[in-house]
Amino acid sequence: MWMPLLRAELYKIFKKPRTYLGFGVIAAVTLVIQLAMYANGQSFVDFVLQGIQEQFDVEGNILNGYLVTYIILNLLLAQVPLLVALVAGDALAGEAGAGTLRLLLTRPIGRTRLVLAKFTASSIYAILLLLWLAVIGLGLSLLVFGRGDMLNFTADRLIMLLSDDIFWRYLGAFGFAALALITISTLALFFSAMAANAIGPIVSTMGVIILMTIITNLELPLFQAIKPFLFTTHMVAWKGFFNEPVPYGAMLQSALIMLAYILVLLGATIFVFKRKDIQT
Amino acid sequence: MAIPIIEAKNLTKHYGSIVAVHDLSFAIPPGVIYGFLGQNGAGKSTTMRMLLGLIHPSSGEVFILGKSLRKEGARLLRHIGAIIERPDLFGYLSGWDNLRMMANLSGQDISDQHLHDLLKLVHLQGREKEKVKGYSQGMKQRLGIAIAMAHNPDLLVLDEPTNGLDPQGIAQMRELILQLSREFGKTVLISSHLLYEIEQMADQMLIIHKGRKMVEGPVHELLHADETLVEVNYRPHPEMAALVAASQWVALVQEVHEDRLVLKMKPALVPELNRWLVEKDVAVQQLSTRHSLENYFLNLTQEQDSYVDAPATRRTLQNL
Repeated sequence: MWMPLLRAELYKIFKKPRTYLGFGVIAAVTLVIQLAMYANGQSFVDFVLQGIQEQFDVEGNILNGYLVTYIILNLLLAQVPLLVALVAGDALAGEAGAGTLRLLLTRPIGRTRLVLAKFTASSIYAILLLLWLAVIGLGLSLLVFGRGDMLNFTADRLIMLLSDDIFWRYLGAFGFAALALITISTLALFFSAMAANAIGPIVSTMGVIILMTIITNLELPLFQAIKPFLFTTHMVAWKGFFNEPVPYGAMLQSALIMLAYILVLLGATIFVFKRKDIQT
Repeated sequence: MAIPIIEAKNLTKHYGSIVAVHDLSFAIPPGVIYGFLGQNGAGKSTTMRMLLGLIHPSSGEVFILGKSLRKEGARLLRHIGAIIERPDLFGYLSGWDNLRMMANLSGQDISDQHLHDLLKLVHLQGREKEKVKGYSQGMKQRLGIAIAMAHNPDLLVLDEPTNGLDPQGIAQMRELILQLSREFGKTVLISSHLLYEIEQMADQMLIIHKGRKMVEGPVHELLHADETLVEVNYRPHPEMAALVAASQWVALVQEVHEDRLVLKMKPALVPELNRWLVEKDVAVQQLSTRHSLENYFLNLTQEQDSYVDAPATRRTLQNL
């Protein structure tokens, strides 16, 4: 029963035109950044390196595919949660609003199994978005800009990563980003279980992300105590893969906190949905 | 006695202080068409949703083939196929995709051939590739029936299946439901506020009003289905009561007034009544039959309303 249910959920997701909006947005934003880098990338690099070039000779293909992908990820990974929320927020509430939820629940599938199938399908969608980003972002950037050592500016230092030492870092970063997006997806699914139309859960999810991001970025003593427990603090931890050395301990902690969010939110979704009266 | 296909025991549903369904019990034996009758807002859909586990009862329990739905969970729903209110289907999918997908979710291995046979049964063969959003209401209802039938359930639960259909669609739906019962031996629970529909189809029926059971039993016993109410309106005739008293119609009279006469009788006697009225020089303005179920239903609900409203009325009078 599990596989037919999951297949049905995936089939429904990929039969909706809205689903492809996410893939389209990612392609459009990525191509715009790549085009901008292709046209004016060298002056961008010169601007970034102006302080360093006075003291060091910087040679080689600095504007390479790895650097362009890093710029794309920095700009885009903050926006992808909206695309994930569009699908996960619609998962239960959209079906409740359309009346198809009662059609589904007259089948012997069970509510817990339905929530788990929708969670899995939404997670698969989030992972596919990231795979698409990997193909069009990393793949196309490497094709157009070539390979090279990557310069990464952090707040207090410049890190140089050798060309042969970068690809695995992207694999790790995409994996970490997948965990972050699944956290967002689960949050949207939780709101979705409580609503009867998709707008509320999508807006609520974005509201929570915006609020938590603001708190994360505000350097105020008031928020210092809660920051370590906000998932938005840990969503950007993928950047740790481009540090030297990689802060594995802190990243593992971030991953565990997001995993805890996923488990708690998923449990809460099942709890709420099992007790819900289907009135629509 | 056979185990009921489905049984409701003391079902009650509160929404805050509002009681949607109150202490409702009934059992549906195998093989019957069971009519569930009530006005809009009487609690029919809430009850049917409780039977399917869509709404959790405030108290009471549902049993499917003798097993508790609360304890056994959704797996018992494999015995049931249902359309609740209207068949809201996946409009962006084709009829076939809807049917195939929902069949796959029944937990049984269902062949394409079986589904094609069902499409033929509901007269949708040749239209299955079209997207459902382009279907008429009648087509959606019929596809809903096919989906409900896909896993060959013991019981079909159909909530207002003729809602939104044109007269031809209603007739087709009625024929289909009777066919499912007679040819395929399905037990059918059908709700409606269209009294005539229940009278045409059901073997047994239950009437609820304001969430409470009013009456339950075989339709023919409850209604004396071979008799109907005949109402005659005529120009005022002061001697009418005396004329009727001296005639063969006296035993059938329900009401007699100067300008109106109501009799309970077999429809075959109507022409004879008409001849008698002409002989007696009664200037008939209108002669009409009233469905006995409609009358029965209205009588019951009006009695109930009087009963329910009486304390409030008494309180109002006392306050005066």
